[in-house]
Amino acid sequence: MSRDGTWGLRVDALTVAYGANVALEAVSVVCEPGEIVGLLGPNGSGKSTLLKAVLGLLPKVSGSITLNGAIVDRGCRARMAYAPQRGEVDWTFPITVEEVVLLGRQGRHGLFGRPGRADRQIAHESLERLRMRDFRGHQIGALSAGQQQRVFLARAVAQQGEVLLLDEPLTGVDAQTQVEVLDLVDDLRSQGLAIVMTTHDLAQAAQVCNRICLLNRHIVADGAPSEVLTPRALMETYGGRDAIRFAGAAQQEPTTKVGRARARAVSATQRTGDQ
Amino acid sequence: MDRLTEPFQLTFMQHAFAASLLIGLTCGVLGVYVVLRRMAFIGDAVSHTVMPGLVAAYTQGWSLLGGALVSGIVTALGIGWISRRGLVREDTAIGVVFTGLFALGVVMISATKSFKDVNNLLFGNVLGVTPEDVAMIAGSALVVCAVLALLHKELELTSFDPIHAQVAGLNADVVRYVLLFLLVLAVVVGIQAVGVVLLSGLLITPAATASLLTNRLQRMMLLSVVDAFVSVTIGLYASYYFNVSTGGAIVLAAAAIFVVVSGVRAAKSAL
Repeated sequence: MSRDGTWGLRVDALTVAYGANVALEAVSVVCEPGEIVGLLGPNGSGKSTLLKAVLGLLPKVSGSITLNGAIVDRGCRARMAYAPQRGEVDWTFPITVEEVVLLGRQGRHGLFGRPGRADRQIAHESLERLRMRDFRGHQIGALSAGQQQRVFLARAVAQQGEVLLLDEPLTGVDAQTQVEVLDLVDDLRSQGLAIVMTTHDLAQAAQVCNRICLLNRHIVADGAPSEVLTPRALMETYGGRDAIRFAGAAQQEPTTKVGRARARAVSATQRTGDQ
Repeated sequence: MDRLTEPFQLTFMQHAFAASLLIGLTCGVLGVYVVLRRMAFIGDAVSHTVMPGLVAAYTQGWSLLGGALVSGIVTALGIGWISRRGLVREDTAIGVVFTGLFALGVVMISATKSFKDVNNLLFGNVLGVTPEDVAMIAGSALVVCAVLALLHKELELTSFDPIHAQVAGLNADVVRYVLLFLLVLAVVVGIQAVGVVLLSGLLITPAATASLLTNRLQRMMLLSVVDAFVSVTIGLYASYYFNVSTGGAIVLAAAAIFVVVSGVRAAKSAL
């Protein structure tokens, strides 16, 4: 599982264009099992484009995308779970929580294929893990934003993929829910999933992400949060004023379990160093 | 009681009743997807754009279904072609194709002498259906229900979360074209009851009423069908006893039920 190895999701020199507009230019990102990579950048920087290109929803101009060394193709994509941005789902559609989670099993049963008892069992276990089992008969639109995000994470779990792609999981949910979602995502990471997450929220991203990629059509910086979230890199990614605001945000107190655990570990190391 | 059973002593009323119920079934079930996928406008458009095909088939003695299908396919492709480069928005493209083809139908009508037949196309004439018509309507109802049942999961996924559907290897465009094809089928059978002009009333209104009452898909379909059954029955009786347009009475009944149900809903949520 070394960085030079072929394990996990690897995006290599990917270029994607909408007509004449280049959305991504020679972007390379690696996400290994048990790792959360945060994609940060301003609106229009290509974060969602990158996820969609990985999922094969957008044609690439050049570059390669591999999973465990194999080129990502149609069959391979069933192993990638994806939680969409809030705006991409029709929340008014009459579908229950359980049915949404079962849709995660649909990729395994081609056309006309129907989920069976085993799939239902997996769906129930996924709901159980995300503490949403009691809500399985509820219509998805009737839930709170945080509960909806849990349902999508449950669907991703039910898919039993190796890669989890989250598009703006923190947008449109309250601070308390953000913390819950991040702790859940960190829990999934510890189970060995390779997780790529786009976000606007630097402070939160810094807490859970093992690595952060600053994206603005090309990769501006890629590394551990403390290395990447420098005023200079942020300035290059976001431009002047925002960078200062974001840099301040990155210094905030950790709110998530994992964030607090890491902060404790860091201060413990510092104390040991002092002695 | 006699007044309820009296119309059914007549063979043509029996045929009309059988045809109307089958049409109610087809439009009621399909209408739920039309409403949920916000296809009401394109549904209305397709019901109008089949006109030139129907007029041609009518005057030349070809199969009505064939004529309508050709028009329906031209509609779907035309809308896709006009809006393909993003120069014109899709709803604008639908508006252009819909009125253009309907106008062609109107021009073709005026070139024929047979206004009575054409009147049937525009406003329906369920009292004139033949046993062959009933068989064709039953076949179409079967096709629509069977395809919807077989593609239930695919429709659910592409409607609810189109991006996940694509990732799972489902082609949303194919599903959409299948729905448009079913829509054309429903239109062809539905015009026998309410005609081209009022068809979307039978397609959309019962489904819209049902969507006010439940947020479960199967229940919504059931309620939509029941609503459509009630509406066509009221329409048939009204046209028998008051000698008014059957199609008009059917759609009016559906609209009245919608108004009552949404009034009750509004009153309930106000309390």
